Amino acid sequence: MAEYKTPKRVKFRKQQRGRRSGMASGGAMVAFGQFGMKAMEAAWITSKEIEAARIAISRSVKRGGKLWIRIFPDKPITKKPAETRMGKGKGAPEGWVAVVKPGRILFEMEGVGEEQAREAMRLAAQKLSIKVKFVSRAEQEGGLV
Amino acid sequence: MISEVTISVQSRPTLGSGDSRRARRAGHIPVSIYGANQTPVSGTINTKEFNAFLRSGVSRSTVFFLNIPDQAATQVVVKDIQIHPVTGAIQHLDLLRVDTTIKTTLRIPLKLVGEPAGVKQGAVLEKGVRTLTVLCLPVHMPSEITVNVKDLAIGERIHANQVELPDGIKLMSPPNQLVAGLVGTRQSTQTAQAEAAEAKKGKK
Repeated sequence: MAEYKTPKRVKFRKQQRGRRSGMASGGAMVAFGQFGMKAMEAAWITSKEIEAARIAISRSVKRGGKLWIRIFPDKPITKKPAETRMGKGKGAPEGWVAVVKPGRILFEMEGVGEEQAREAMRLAAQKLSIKVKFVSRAEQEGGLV
Repeated sequence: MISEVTISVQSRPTLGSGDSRRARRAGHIPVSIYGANQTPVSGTINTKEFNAFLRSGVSRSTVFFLNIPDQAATQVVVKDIQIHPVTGAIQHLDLLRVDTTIKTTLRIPLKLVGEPAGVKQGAVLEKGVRTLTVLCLPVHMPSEITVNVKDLAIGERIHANQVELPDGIKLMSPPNQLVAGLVGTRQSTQTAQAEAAEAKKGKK
């Protein structure tokens, strides 16, 4: 399966898992486009999921409109090989994930109608492992322009 | 734009995050009122009352009245809003006191009018900034600034200094800020090429 962009060069090959508590402190507002997809749960979104969702959106809108991907998979994930005994150090890097907290805007769109954007986001949401919500700039900040 | 709506403010004797949370649970929005060389006031306003005011088609530049306890009716504008990242509910408001005789700097929403011909070919109308910062008297404050994008060609852009402002309003935003641009896509290029080819055939 195709991967979304991953870091070209990193200082350290492996990272600790970290915590996913709390809500998104930044990137929680539709900032570029007219419509967006908001995460309602905390998760690690893999680069493969992002790519699958991106393809679903671009196919749905038939290359019309403009898409912004607001998350980037910059966290390396390791995995131990199958049927391996515990110990003997941390596993080998397996892939990349984006750490997502509730409230984070994942994708934004512009240049398409609301119905088309809603359908594209619905198809993209099926490729993701978390609950998401369709949001629009017009409803943001209580509708205050 | 000056609205006739008056929103009443309840005083908030104790401050802090715990008190603010209790106020939100009770159906109030914590607010800070400041500006016009007067002492800042912390209070709360009714959430339902303020949401009804927002639904009445107001913008960031709408001046409205506040009934603050032990003070005369004050004219204010919304300076800043804090939003809950998940629910989108209003968490806190900064309200700026406005003196109708003194020029004030405020953000005015932009409204793009018309559809460029390139959009039908597949080009995307890219919106830059959604608001412009201007300096003017609150009486002259427009509710929105309209920008006509109908004649925009593919690759063309409109910057902040190209926007026609009403009289008595001075632009405070950076002049080179992008307001709108028509960006060509693969689809628009293909459509343009196909149209050009058809035109050639027609000539032959």
